[in-house]
Amino acid sequence: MDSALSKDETVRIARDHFSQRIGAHDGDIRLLLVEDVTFPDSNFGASNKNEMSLQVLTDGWRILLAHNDTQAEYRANKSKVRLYQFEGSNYRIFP
Amino acid sequence: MKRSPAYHLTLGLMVILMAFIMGVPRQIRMQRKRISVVGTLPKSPFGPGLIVKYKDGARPSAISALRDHFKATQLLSFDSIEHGLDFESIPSGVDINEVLAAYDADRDDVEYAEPNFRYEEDHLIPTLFPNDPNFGLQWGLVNNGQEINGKAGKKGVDIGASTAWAVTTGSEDVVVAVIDSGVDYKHTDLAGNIWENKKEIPNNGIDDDGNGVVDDYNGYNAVDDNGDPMDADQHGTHCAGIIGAEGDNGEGVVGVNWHVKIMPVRFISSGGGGTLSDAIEGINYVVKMKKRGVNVRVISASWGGLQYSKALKDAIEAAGREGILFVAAAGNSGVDNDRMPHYPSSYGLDNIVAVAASDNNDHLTSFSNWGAKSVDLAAPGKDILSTTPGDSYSLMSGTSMAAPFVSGVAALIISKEKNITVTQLKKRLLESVDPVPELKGKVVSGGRLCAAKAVGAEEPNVGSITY
Repeated sequence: MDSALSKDETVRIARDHFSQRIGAHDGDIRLLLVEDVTFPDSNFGASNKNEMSLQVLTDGWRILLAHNDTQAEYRANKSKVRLYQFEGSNYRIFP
Repeated sequence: MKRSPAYHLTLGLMVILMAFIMGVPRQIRMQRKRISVVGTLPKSPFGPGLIVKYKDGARPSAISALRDHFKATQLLSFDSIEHGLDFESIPSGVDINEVLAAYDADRDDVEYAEPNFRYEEDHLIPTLFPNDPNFGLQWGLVNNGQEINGKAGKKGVDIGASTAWAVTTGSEDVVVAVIDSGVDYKHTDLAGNIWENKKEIPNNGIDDDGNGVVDDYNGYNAVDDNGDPMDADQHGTHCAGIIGAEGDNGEGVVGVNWHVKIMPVRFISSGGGGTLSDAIEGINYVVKMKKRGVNVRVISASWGGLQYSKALKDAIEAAGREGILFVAAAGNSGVDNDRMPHYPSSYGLDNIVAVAASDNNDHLTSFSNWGAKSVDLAAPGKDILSTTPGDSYSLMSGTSMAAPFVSGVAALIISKEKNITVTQLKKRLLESVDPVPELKGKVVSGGRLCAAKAVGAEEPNVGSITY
């Protein structure tokens, strides 16, 4: 199993991904919210099309980022980071 | 002081008796419990159904109308005592007082109607308890009202495992495939119940049995296409422990089956998801091994998604043709699967049993999906203690946990009835539930899994379930 990620590390992964995705400087990304959440499944309710998830409640964090008018919701726990419903799709970010 | 010969004889017999009792450490203990002479274990002063005396000359159309309205069924006629005296069953969950009021209101046709009063007797119900030290935390097996995760349970809200175990604790001849994130097959509390492919020599780098997989001694890994199904997460190990953590071994927890064979099949990646193709590949492996003579009778599937796939459906159907029951988690979105299907649990195949999650007070959990037409029954799924990798144990919640309870009870039934068909197995699981009022209209059976009734250790429910 992968080594455990801290909450700060998952926020860093999310910021890096978001800034690259929209082509913005990291310093322009605003962290709106980080909250503890229990997700409904192993993919944090953010499965890709044709992807199956384990039906176990999974503790993690909901991370809301923004750049200008664009917002992104990342969902993470100690081993995974996903982007939830960004432009209509879910994305597996880490690993 | 001199004792008489009778004294010494009595003393000797007592010593022999004590030695015998103490020398049978895991003997079945007899527990006094009150049960009724008719129907299920008492939860109310009334048994199921009612006794009704129709008047001479009662109109057949009126009798039919009454019965149809409450879905009542004439089970017995006491014509030899008195013409028109019947015992009628009513479906579980129907209010007996409402039925009686309606029958009494028809004074033209009904002379009287009364509930099927219980005449209780003291019976001895055999129970069997294991010595696993954490058994007391496994409320889904035996609920004594113990507090789990800060919430007290309700006594008796369990699958009746200790009663079922007096009939069967499972069999090593029954194989249950756990298609999941893999299983820690080295876990101390699981290792003895892990399936072994006797036609394969472990770790020799050769596909000894010619099944296309090298060194698949303990199962299959569809993600990496090899013979090592070690758990990449925790989930599969947890599910496996619910089905068959070794029982009465003085370690950790006990599974629904003390003895069984778990076939680990990994299709979930370390990222937590599984592809459709790997899921199908996993099922294909199980079916292939069944065709090669491995007695795989159940697939436990604690996963799902929203995307319909004809290929996955066909794979599950093919497993059904090989006599394999497919037990699927209903999903954790707290929605009605009749409106928003969750696959594979919603494929509606004859060999699929879809499972919702209930808690230690017999409530449907807030996260569990349900479906009056598409979810078959509920099973314990909140704060479930089971095995996790590295000889550890954890509490987990989800319909993921409920499904393996059902898989486990299916395996218990098979251990006792080796030739039971998939159709009969599904029917048994649904018809042997403990009726739960809150589950009526939420799941097909209207109840929660009951191992004790499923294996015949307690009296079956009266009446039938339409599904």
